[in-house]
Amino acid sequence: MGTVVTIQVVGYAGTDAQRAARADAVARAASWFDSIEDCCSRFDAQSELRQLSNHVGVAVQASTTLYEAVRFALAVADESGGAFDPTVGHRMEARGFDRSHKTGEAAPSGVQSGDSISWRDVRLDERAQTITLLKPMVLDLGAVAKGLAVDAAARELAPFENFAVDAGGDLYLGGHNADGAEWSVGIRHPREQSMIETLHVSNCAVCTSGDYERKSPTDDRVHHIMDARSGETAAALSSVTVVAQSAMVADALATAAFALGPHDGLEFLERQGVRGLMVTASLERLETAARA
Amino acid sequence: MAAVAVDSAPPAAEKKLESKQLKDGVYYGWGTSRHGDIQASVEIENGRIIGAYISQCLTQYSCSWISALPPEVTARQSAEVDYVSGATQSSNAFYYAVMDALKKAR
Repeated sequence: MGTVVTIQVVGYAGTDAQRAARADAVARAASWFDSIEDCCSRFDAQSELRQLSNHVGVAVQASTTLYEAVRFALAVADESGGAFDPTVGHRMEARGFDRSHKTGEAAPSGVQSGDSISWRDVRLDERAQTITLLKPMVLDLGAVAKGLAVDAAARELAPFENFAVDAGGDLYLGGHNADGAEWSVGIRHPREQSMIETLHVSNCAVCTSGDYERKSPTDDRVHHIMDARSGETAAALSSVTVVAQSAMVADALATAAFALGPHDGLEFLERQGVRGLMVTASLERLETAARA
Repeated sequence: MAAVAVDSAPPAAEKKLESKQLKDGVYYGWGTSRHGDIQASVEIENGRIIGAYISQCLTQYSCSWISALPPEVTARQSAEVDYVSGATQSSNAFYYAVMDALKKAR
């Protein structure tokens, strides 16, 4: 996923047995990032996601990971009225996001999609755990997969109570830090080398979407979040931070709110019952009333 | 993806001492990616990182779209917080180049 992941467990250093158990759990937690990328990467022709794109109009059996990621992404698409839409993979390719930001290798899908594709063109069967693409399309699970991996990693560490998972700024914080206090999380200012806010949290995820993270290699004005309804880069916001019970939720809702823009995005986050902090392109701050 | 597993955090007092152990000066480090190398130069003043820059870009793809990264290193290190949300490290090579430089500053 092009990110360095930091995993921290507090304590459990007293005996060899504790240290061994801790090291095993950390290794298992770290391995989720690779396995979820293998499943959900738009750039890897061998990924389960790309294999799915080879079958149009057919119900394809999906792994639990892929099914959950797609199901959640479609639910957020519906909730956001389509501003966030995982079926926009072909449009991401056209805007220059056709290569892995980790390896720099171009990996175009070769899928020709008409512009009339939307999240409504995917059918799920919960009982059979199948996904059906009604039209040729490339799913983009970038806003969901990293959060999903953070949550899977956090589940491995849950028995240790006090831990942190940091995947390039998408965080899950369990329990307390080494000082026995809630974890302090600084939210990066979108333009300056400073923090706009410090949060004190425990047992929740903090994810931030920003226009400064990843720009198109072909057009500097284009960053990686767009309003899928118009196809335009979402330009009214520079940063959205969401605090939620899971990283998959925080990650996807931050991206969806970003795509919706300041007013609609804030309302969207309020409706979802999560805490959100937005910074507009003109550096105004907006915050949800809900302080989770 | 590279996972850095930190098994347990040192108490806060020890953490501050660690950063005071950085010697003033400019240090260079190299980070490798599959597509080439990046050299970072890291400037230490009064024991703290005041700047980190890409001094040489030998990657096959352009470094220009990761050149926005260097200020993040300063922000992350000087903030009195456990973690930072929103600071991404899109280039492993740069991150490791900075770590390599810091090793020389200790």
